[in-house]
Amino acid sequence: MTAIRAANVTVRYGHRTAVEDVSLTIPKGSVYSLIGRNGAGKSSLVRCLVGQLRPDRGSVQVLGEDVWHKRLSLMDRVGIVAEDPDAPPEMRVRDLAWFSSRIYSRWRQDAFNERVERFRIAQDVRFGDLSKGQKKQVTLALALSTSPELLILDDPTLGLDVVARKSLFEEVIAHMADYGITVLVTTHDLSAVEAVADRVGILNDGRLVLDEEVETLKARFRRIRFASQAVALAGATLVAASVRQWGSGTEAVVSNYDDLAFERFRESAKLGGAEVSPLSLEEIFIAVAGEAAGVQQ
Amino acid sequence: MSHALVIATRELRERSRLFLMCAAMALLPFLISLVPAAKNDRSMVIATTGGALAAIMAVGTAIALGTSTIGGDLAARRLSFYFAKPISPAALWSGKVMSALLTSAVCYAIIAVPSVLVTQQKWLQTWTDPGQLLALLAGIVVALFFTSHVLGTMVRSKSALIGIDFALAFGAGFALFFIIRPLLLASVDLLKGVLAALAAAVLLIVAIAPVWQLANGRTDVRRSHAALSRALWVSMAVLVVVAAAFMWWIVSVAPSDVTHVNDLEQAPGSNHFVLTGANKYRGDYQATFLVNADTGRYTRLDSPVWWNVRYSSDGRVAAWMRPYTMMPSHRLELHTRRLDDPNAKNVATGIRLTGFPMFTLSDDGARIAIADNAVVTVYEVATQRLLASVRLPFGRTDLRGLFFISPDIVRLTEYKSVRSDVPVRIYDLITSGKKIEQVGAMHAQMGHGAIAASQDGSRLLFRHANAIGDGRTGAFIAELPVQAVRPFAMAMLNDGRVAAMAKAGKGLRLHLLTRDGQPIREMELPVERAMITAQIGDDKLLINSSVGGARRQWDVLVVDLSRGVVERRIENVRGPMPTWHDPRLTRFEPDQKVAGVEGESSGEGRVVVIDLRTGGHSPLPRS
Repeated sequence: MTAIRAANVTVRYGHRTAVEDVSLTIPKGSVYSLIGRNGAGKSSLVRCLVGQLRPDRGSVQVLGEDVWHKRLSLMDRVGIVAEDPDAPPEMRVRDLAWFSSRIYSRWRQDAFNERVERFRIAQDVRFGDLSKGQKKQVTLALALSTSPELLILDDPTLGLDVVARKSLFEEVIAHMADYGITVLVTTHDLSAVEAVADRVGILNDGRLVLDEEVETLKARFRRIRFASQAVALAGATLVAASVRQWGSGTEAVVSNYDDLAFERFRESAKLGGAEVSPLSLEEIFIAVAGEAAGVQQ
Repeated sequence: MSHALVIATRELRERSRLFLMCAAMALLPFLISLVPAAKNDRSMVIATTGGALAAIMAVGTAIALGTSTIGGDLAARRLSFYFAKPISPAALWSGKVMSALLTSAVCYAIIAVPSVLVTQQKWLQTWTDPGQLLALLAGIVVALFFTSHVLGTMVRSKSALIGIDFALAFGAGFALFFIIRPLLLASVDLLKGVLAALAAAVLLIVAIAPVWQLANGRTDVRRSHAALSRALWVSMAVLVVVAAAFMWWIVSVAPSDVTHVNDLEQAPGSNHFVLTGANKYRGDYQATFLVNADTGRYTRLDSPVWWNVRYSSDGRVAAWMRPYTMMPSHRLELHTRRLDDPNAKNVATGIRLTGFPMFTLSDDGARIAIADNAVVTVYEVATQRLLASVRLPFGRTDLRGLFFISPDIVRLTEYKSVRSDVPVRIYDLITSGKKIEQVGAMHAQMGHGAIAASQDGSRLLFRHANAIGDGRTGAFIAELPVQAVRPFAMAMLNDGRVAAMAKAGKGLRLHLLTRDGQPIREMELPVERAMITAQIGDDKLLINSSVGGARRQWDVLVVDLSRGVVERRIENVRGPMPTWHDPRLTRFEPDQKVAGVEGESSGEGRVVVIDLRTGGHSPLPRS
């Protein structure tokens, strides 16, 4: 069963293409992290996924239904934390809860009270008077209290302090996943998401350049350092995602590492001191998205 | 609680500060009434300022909320707050509308109610018919709210689409104006209904289009604008098409569809007539046609024809005035058409006038004399060449009669007021000499249509004075030995003889008199009321007679003056109407066909064609 299935989604604003031919599938119960640089098209794609923006081409199904046409019923089952806090600034936290309680069929007031209390936010404060982080926390509390089947978090850590950020990933997202709730999160906090995400997608210039399970991804990306100048990796069937000078030697990030190929490379290049190390998600992202952007620049 | 009510409640809760501000404003009328200048009538000051402030606040709130209620959320990217929730576009819009209109109403009430309670009767005196005023204010508030929303959305999107919007708005307005223009010119009651329906339809469009806007534009400000524009202009296009179809149906009435004839003017010596009338299913719209009674072929004239149509005495040319401006006005242009050429077209002559012109064609239709703004101008019709233009030696409003007695001479009659024993002056405008000179004068009792003339202008009949005078000098010739039942129950025949109908028992008696007023013959007419419409040939009269009350029955009588008998009575038919703007009696030829109206006594009539030769009548042929 899939929670989200996007097929060939393209979004244009005038002549500018924000999202180009993106297809992705997010299985139910998984945590999917969509990452990309600023302006990569994450928010546009998320807005398509929640039925707020109609793609110029392609279609999106959420929980098995077309999200553009069935938004009304689907939004009762989907919790959303928007990138920019969008609640009316004049509304008090209590009023926001009252409003949601009248709108959602599965609203849980006790869950909301408990979470807001844990965030130490008074309910009689106007939303506009809250700090950026508190606004995120209130929005998150609102989204979680609707008993969602799918939780979509668009850059939820923006403005959160380190403790809140850690709490969000370790407690909230992991907790949701434990209960079989699908989570789609876009974030720049790659180290945190690495621990909880089952699958990751990288958007670069509107294109989904990578969509893979985190473990597989990490297994096939390796950093190889060797003392000589750049030598051909292709002979050993290793594909370099990036190659750069490293001191007097060379550092390459390969995207299809396996031990056998590496040994062949070392023998063919007659390298004695080559060393291999794993990459964090952040490093993989930089290799994939950052280097691509750097080359373009 | 429905989602719309939840949204409305939420928005109203937020407006507590606005309501507090209104409460403070409610004190203003009382403070103003304390200034020394207001001491004479403090109640009136409170009622006036209270009502005005309340209305201003209600209108201002409607405009402010209209521009911001969705547009503001879109621009601030806060509309996703609603779209991330299971709220339908219709619930969102109706909730926003409810809260905005309620806010306007509450603002009005907070400011107005204290003034009403304190001033009571004075309020009712100051704001006469407050119920109607409140309904008007409510209408303005609603219209402004929806219009502001549309404009607010368009302006906030900062999209080039706004140029297309304004072009389409201009186009739609222009199209609707052109669609209703026939009604504007005709000044009919139907216009009020059409305008009300159009206003309601436009209001409905601007009230409902935002639902489409929200459903399809959702959280993107430019796509929202595009969706609104699409909904708006597609609906407006449908409205324009429907309005155009309706108006086409209204104005497409044919002469044979006319059931209520307002005017029917038969050309002398020609089968053509001008018909103005309405169809019972198409409101009070009066269509006007120039019709050939023989074939039923007709040309549609813009309705109404102003100041009626004029025919040349030979029946070959018709002339009429039309406003040449977009809106109804007294800026008029002369139009002509030849009646003796089946392929002739209506000609806009380019001769333009302002005011209330009086005009007449020469007997052969070659010339036209127009009195306009105290100047009489004679043109050659075919070329529009100006032949003479002479200032009247008196005011235009005193000019009572204008007709050609020869191609070169136009005779004018002037008197100041409609009362007894007033000086009447007669002038001749000599076209070749480009001068006007007084040729005669007399004193007589005058009234509307007081003067009738022989064809050559040598004799005048003063209807109200019951006398005959010389056509050129005005010198008294004879007093008539007969007292007609009404001034218009007498006529001067083309050769100067006089026909006058006097009361005789329950009916009328027609007296035929010589040019000098001497009795020739008399005959009984078995009718209650009668009106001489025209002469047929030299010795017959066409008379419209009637019996009965409001729904009287009309009969056409053809009277043979030489034999002194009613030659023919055509029952339940009204003949053409007499010509009021030419003092000379219209002359029909004995073998001519003329138009009439049959069956008006039943409440609705139909146009028929009377064959003067046989007296038979038949429905107007459909062309």
